[in-house]
Amino acid sequence: MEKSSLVQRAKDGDVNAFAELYKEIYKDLYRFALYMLKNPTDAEDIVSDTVVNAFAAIHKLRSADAFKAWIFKILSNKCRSKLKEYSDKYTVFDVCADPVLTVDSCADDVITRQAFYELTEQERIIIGLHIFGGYTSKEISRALKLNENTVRSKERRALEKLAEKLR
Amino acid sequence: MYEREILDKIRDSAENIEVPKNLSPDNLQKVLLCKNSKSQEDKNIFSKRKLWHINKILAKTAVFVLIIAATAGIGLGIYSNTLNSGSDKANVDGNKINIFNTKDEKSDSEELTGTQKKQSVGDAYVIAQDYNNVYNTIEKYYSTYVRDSNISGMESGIAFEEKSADLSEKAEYGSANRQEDAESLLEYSTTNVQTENIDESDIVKTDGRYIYKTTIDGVCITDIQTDDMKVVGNIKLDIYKKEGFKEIKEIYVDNNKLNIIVETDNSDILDDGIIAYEEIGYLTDVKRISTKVSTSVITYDITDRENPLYEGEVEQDGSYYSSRKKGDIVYLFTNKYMELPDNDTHKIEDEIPKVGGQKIPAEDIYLADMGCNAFIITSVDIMECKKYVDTAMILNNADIYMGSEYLYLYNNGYNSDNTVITRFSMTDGVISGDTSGIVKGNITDTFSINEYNGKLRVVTWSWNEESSSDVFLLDDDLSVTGAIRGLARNEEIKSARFIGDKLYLVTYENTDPLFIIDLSDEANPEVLSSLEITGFSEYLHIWNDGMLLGFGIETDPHSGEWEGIKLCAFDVRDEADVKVADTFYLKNKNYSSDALYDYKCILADRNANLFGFAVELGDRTTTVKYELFTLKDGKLHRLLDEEIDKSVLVSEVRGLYSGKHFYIVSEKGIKSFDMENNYSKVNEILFP
Repeated sequence: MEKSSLVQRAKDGDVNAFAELYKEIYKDLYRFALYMLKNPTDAEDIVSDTVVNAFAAIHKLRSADAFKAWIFKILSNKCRSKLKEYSDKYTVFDVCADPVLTVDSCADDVITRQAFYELTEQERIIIGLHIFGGYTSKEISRALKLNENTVRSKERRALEKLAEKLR
Repeated sequence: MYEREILDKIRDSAENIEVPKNLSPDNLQKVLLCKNSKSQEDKNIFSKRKLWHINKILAKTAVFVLIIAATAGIGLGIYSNTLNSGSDKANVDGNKINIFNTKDEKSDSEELTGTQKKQSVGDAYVIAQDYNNVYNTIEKYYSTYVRDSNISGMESGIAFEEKSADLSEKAEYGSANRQEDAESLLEYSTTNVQTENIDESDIVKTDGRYIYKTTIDGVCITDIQTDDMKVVGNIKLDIYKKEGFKEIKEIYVDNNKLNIIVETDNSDILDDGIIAYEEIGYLTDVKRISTKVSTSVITYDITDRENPLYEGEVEQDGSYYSSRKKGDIVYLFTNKYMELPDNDTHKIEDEIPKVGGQKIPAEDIYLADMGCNAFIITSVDIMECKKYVDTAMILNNADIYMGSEYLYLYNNGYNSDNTVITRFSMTDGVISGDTSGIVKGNITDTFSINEYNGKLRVVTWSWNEESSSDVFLLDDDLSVTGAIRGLARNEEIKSARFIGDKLYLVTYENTDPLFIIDLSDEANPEVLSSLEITGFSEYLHIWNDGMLLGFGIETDPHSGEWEGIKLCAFDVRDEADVKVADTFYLKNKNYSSDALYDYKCILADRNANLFGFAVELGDRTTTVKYELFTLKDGKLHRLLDEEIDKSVLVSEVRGLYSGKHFYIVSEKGIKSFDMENNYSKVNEILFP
């Protein structure tokens, strides 16, 4: 079904239409939240909250094409609030054990994830929005209120750090 | 490019993550219903009418809404189709009429007073006539970009921001870093700056007799005139004030004046009942966050180091971006987002940034075609520190480069293949744009842009289907006189350094060609030679006796794997035949250093023949060390390999010398060493 009519139907309260839209992106939503928060329970809660908010507010969505970016905006805002909460509570975040150990997780993925977790919050958000949210650096700079060049150089620096760790 | 590989790697690592069942699309109804069960309202959420109820319920929790203000584009409408192989300056002839400061008139307009009117700058910026102009510029940006939600995915070819030092060299290898105290002829090192004689603020400063170090809430002054280093002065600012949390950024020390750059964050949740913008598609009854960040320059008289005297301060809107100091004038650069006012409760006047408590007048505002980032420049005379000399605001994003003669702003332009460079004069602190130019590509490195004898040269990096580098020599009016195009295809620029009429350029894919480029013929720059070595340099610094130092990373030429940090001494006496004289390896892939990316972390003093930087050797157990080297007869010798407290921030460690002592300064304290006695440790103090 065509996206714009899905959005229209979702605006009218059609949960199934919303579910169709959601189906395309829900994995990325969760991955983003997990990669930001490092905590699967919190990630699940936050995605849940986001979905509820999004469904309730979808009548405000102007352009069907913007659905993904829009819902990611909501999600990333929530993640940032959550991260702020974390920093108020904890001083050191122990990342010894990978919180996501499934049968399918290979060691390489775990190592990559660990290295990613060692980046700063801002670096994770920038890369997360890029990879999972499909944001362009302009969109990221708008979302985070940073200078575009700053976004690019921060991302680059973060990737270099990762490259060093993952050699 | 390894960046794409890493991005893919991260993406792939997430592939196999199992999404909790609760979040699956099939369970969506459950999710929506479940969240609603807390309410006492009707549980049927599928009717449109009921959506309104949900809004109210969910809105009870305080939700942080970040007003998504966009960054500026440069209004590519102006610049499109101006690039062809012949000329890199848009509308060369047509627009010259608009440029007021022509060469002839310059001598008259040079007697600038504070009331000198600002003029438009080439094709790049026009001065606002009134605040409505400003509104329109912001409005244009918002209507163009903020509603545009085409997610095309990040374009590849991310512009890099390499940092390599940039010293404008004079013909002879004269003193660059050495400072002499007039009284005692003491020699000491200074901040590693981009341009000779243009100081840059830093977290550590010395005047040979004292070391000044920023602290969480002020500045600590340590007397180093005797071996037992005593903290004699400690300026403490009240950083937890009601008006906002203050962060000490950097300082300047000049004779008996100490300037502290402080950023104050007074962002708050507004309880004004104004609903968040529809743009975000958010709920009603939600509070907004107002971002209120400002940056100040506070001046102290430190004639009596034990009793610093507060003299005054000036404050401007915006978060701290950078600073420069030329003579007695401190230039401060900040950035502030401008929201689009609704013209109802919130008008354009409310949005105009303030400097010194006053809104910036329209006549000091430079407008691009569209934009919403206020780049604010101010100048302060440290001898009259309670007021600004001048202010300018550019409604655009900008990076800066201050040469000996002019200030340059450049904007790589998002999604843009070109870079617009605008030049500003800064005579006696009066800031005035005078001309602009445009070059193909992006300036990816702080040291890729350099002014020499009043003329600018740049090396840029472009990415279309393959990447390449271009070198441009510009004329007085920023038009291109000569260029080398299409250099180092498919490689990235890792470092660049313009020295006199030479450009040393390091590009890299799996190996590192170091190019020596001759710029003496302004119409015909020419590659003299290139040297292929493994790894790459992130930072270049010209040294004595025809040597060039390269500080960077060693990699495996086949796998591209990083193997450690290295310092290379290149013999560049014979420009046609560059050789590696010596290399010192810190051979462990777990070495990292902020000095690779931040030139101020580096100590590079040719006269004292010292090159130093802090490194982190970390895997599970991190070690932090300071490494110091010297170059003698073509050989690199390590003078210090000193371990320091591993809890310190590597980016905030500085090495410096005064007289015959070498000091390592970190946020914890200072260690001193005897340079005449094999760098044996003399003393160590901790900051209070």
